[in-house]
Amino acid sequence: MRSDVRRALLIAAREYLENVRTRGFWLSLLLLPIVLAVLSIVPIMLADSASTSDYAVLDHSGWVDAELQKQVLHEDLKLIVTTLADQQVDQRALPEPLAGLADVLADEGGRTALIDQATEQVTRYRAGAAIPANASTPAEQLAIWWNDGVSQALAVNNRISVARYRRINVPGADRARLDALVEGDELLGYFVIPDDPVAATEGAQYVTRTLTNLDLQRWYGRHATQLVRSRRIREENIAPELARWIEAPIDFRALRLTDTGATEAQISDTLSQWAPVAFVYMLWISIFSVTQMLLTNTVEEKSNKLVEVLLSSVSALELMAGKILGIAATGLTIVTTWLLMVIAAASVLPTPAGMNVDLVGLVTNPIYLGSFLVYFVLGYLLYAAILCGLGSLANNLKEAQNLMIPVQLCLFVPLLVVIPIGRDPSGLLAQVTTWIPPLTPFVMMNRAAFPPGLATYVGTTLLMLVSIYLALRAAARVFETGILMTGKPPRIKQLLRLVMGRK
Amino acid sequence: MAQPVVNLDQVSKYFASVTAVDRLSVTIPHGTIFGLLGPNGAGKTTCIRMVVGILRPDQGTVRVFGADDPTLSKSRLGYLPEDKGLYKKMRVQELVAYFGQLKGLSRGDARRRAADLLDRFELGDWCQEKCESLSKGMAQKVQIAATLVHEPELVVLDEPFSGLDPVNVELIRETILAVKQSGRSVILSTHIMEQAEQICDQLVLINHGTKVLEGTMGDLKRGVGRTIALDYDGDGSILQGLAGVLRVNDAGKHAELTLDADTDPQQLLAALVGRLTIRRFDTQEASLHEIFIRAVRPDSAAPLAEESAGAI
Repeated sequence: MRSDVRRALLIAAREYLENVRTRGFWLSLLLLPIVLAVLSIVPIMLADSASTSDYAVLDHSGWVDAELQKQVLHEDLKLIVTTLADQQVDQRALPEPLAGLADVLADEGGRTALIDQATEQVTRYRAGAAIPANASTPAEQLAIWWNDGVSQALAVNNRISVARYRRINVPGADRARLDALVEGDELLGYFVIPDDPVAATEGAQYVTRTLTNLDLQRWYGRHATQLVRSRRIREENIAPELARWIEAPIDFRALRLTDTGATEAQISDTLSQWAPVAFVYMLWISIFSVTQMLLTNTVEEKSNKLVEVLLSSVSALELMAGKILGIAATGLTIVTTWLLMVIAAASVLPTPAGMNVDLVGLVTNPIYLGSFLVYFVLGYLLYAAILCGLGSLANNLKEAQNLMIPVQLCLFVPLLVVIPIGRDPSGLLAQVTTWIPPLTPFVMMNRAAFPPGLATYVGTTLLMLVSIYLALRAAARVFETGILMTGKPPRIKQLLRLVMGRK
Repeated sequence: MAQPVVNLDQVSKYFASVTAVDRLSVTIPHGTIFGLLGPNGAGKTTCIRMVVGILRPDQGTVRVFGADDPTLSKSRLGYLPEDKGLYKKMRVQELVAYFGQLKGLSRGDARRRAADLLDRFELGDWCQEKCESLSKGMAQKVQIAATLVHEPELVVLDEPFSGLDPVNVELIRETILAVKQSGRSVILSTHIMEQAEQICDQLVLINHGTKVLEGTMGDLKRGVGRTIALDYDGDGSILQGLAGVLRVNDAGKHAELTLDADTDPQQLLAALVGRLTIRRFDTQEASLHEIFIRAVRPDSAAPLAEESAGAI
């Protein structure tokens, strides 16, 4: 082995071992994904387990709220029955009390009848009808199970309305009483339905203290509107079919065009197309944190007065190359560990209800993984060269941070464009930023769901390699002089002279 | 005659508008302790950095072991800079061995030699400790060990005594002498004249990047004349302005006085008796300190460059 290569590798090995041998390194390595996971899962969990919004209704019409509750019940039961049918298709066992529904669930017509009958049954139970000890029909079985409590229904599908909005019955309540309950935070709000909402909707009100949370208002309003509209259609003797035809929205079905033709868009397709965005964030965090590590390390070595001894044994170029390689190995250890953690998490986490997604397949997609590793190395080398050069000019971390500002501004651009490019991976923004070397690794990763042509891959890789070569050459010139400099860091003009190789 | 270990030929080095070294020519023979003396900012460290291959000269040639490119000789050199540090998180033996490996030793050799050297420096029990746990004195010993672990043919020490306690000063002195006794060479840069005077075989004195004096200690002292060494108690201010005294280097309890050619030391002694309590009054060769002061101060008493046999 050539002696200069051997010395650079010795430096790289020392840098690597110094980093990975500390407990702090592994702790922070494990901590970051855990913190990110917690930050992304907690809001979802909080949203799922969000406290139920309690509301009351002052129904002067005498019919709107009663019909609305029945309609909501029908929707919830439909959601449950559909989920149970999907589970049955996936050969997952039905909840024990519903084992008798297997045959009905298998048939679409049977499911519709089951939902209608169970809705009627539950409504009767709510009105005070006796609940039998043993069900005689599948609809009764479902109605009894539903009536037993919300928690078991939530376990089947947590998107049912009853989990989010709960109507509180306040016997003999007037507005003053309901106002007091809202004031006392016992109700989120209450609805006032006018005498004849079919004739005129004036007087319909939603009273609350919390105007930032309007979900309940929208949800109840949607159902009430639907009921009033149906009643108007009936009173005007418009044929229900005609009314449905008039009201029918244009439902654009999303189809995904592939080499084999257009196919129904699945949730996994959507996730797959957004996955590169997640990889861009991971790439950004990796490059940012690893190059910061390199910068800190360079400044510390300079301020520790070690550089002069080292330079009496190795050349400045060998020292710089060793440092960049050592930290690169550290960085690869970090990203490999993170990737393994993501794959492990994807393989053990349960697939969300109602979603047929291969999470492991998604994160191990060779194009995504390959792009991630290649663009990590290319992006790291470019930024490492720049930061190593700048770090050599600084005498302490404060000076280094000041020198870093232009580079940091440049590094924030990918964060600003990641979502727009995710939405339009072949648009003008994507096409222009692809060819700006400091952004290229991030943008190419961003575009991985719709890979640009081979020419773009070859062209951008060549562009990156040339940029890295030029950056390393300039950095070596700056490093050679800067690493022994003391006093104030050079001004721009002096820095440019160093970059150009002039003293 | 053995080839000189270092040869600087008309070497200049500039930093922006500052001339750090100006057409300096110096030859350092094999097997000697060579003193590189000069006041702060004289250009000593720049010279050393060029010898060890950290800096390149802007003009002239630096030859180390006969090669025009000093970077080719890095593995034959051991360098202890004035500002020195350690990797705090590394273990002591591992650190010394690492520097040995950078100089070309195999891993096994480097570890074995590091252990031997640390034993010799009474740091054997500290081999597996992290450098951050060392006292300042121990850290200095480790730095010396890292400089010597590959048994360099030329050891370059830049201000090695600065900040050391007497025990470590002695350790460095012994180390320097041991290197010389083993037939190798030492370049010692310092501004502590007493140390240089005691151990250097040859010296060069530089100021403002140019050579002022060069030669052996005998060369430098020859022709400078004798001075009076005075140990005393009392008010030393009376030494200033005594008739026939050209210069006074007064340290409070000890002074070195340079007389003009016509003044008899007996007259001086007579003038001092009764005014100071004199513990020692002795004529001696001028000290290196006196030679140094005369050389770098424009108002020095005599044109030393003309008097000294070794002058340029």
